[in-house]
Amino acid sequence: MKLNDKIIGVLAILAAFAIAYGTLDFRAIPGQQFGSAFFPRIIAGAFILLGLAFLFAPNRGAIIATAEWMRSWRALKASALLIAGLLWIVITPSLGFIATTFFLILALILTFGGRFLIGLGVAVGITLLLYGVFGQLLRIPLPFGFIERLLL
Amino acid sequence: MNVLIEALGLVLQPNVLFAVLIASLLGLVIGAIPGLTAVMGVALLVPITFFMDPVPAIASIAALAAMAIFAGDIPGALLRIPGTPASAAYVQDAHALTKQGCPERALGLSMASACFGGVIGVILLMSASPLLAKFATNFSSVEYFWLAFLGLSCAAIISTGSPLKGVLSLLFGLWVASIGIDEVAGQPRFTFGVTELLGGISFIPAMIGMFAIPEILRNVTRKEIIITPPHMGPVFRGLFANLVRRKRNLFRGSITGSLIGALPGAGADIAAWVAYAMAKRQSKTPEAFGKGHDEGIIEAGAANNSALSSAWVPTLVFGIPGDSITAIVIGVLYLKGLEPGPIIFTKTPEMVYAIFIAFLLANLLLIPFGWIVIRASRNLLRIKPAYYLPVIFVCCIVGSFAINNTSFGIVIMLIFGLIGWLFEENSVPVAPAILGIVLGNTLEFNFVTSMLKSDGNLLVFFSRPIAASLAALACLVWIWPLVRAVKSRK
Repeated sequence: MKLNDKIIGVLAILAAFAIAYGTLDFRAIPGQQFGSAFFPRIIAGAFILLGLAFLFAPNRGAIIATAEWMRSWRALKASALLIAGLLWIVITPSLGFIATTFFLILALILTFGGRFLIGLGVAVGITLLLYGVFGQLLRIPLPFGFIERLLL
Repeated sequence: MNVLIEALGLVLQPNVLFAVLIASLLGLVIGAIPGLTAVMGVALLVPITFFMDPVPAIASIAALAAMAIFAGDIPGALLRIPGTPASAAYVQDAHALTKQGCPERALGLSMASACFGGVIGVILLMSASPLLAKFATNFSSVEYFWLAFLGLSCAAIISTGSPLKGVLSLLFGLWVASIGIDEVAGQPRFTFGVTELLGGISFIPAMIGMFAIPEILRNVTRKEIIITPPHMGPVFRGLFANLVRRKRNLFRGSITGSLIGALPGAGADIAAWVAYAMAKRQSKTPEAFGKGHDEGIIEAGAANNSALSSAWVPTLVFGIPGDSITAIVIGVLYLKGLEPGPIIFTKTPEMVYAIFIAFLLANLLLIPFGWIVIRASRNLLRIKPAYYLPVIFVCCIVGSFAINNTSFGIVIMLIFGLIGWLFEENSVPVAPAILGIVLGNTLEFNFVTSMLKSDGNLLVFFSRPIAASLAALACLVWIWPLVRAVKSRK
């Protein structure tokens, strides 16, 4: 998704106002000239100058241009990836690390056009490798599920 | 001498050598796969280094980066798809050699020049860093402010196509760095009531998101290409004679790369382009460039790996990253309780020398490992993105989770991934944002401290000779694009 420079300029100015507004409730330190709001306000000022530079810079083109892939089925692949990330967060607490990670890898491989049997092998191998490295070697408390219970 | 022996002892430990070995193999695979960059590889490695001792952690990052930058030449030479941006400068020549039926010559030259350039870069790193560190011990908050400002300015303005977009990225990074509890006043800033944000945006998930997710999305959404890698002959045949014949290019590329890499904010990509341009200008046969000429491959191939090593000079001496990879390294050093800067040279010199030795080791390993990966490249290039992209994505998820053992890291990774993708779509560089996140607190702390010390007098920033010189340099960096724009209009 390509934005016109003028739109980027407007967004930069809006960001500046949002940052400046966010600093309004920062409390000042008695007797100190430069508090918590000082630096963010400099950033906000710089954002305004930058936004103006974008607005006045010569540029042509559509306000918002979408890439060719965004209008094709490949957009679904990109969405599948991000949805898979969110699903991992939601499902792992109940299903556990091993089962969720295995299904996620296999599902993504099939969505992206991989073969089932190879995908199955990759999913099993990588899941166990990650579990071994992070769960066993590095002792990260990975989300616990029914398979982890069987392994104990 | 004692320090050197102690450092050698630190490096020659089985766990360090094992970490270097694994990271090297990972770097070779990542670099050899088209579309995956060295920076992304380092970003994925960081969650694992988080749990290592400082020496194996830094050694593995150095090894992965060196191997990935070299391995990026493989898809460049065989398929005309540069594996990493640092290989793009000489991809035409390398691919032309492949079309002439000698891919092994292109890859052999790039492997040997990468090794040579890397070693020269390490020598510069070893000799310049301690000297600069001695000089830097006299720096006050004013000089540190200017150094951070200069590094950020170079990253945003010089090393990007559009200075305005570079500055946009930088300001975003600086704002992100201000999220969390303010160190001076203890005031929560921009936390929106989210408890997890009180400690600030976790650097590693943000970095993984910004570097890895756009790459995965780019690979997922591009049209599939059928890859048919060519047959590979013996890599070492005639290699030494070729290198001797082009020794001038080899040395010049290594020196150019080392000098450019040592500039804050510049990196291997710029070094390779500058070295390639220099090789063409100095060549007796410039018309042969782009058609399979050795000179460009050797000079730029040596430059990108030497820049990779020398980028650690400003990183270790001043705590100012030389490129995106060293920006990540600074984050790792802080996480390990090692504050980069001149103090590290006096407090833990053995650690610094261990990093130097690890770098040297990684560059020397380029020859045997490089040979192996060149031989295996036909098979590596045949792996379909459908199989490795989900694996990389899951590594991003697990890495982001592992830092704080919370899913919030994954949320941060996904949000920053989308921002990184939006940046990439609009040609906004990601590296200045990452540098902004890493250096934001240093910049603010030194700025506010100097202002408090001087009671708000801005002249304090120009009161010392070094500070004034750094200020002049920083001004030059900002004024130069304006001068160039005015000149081009005339």
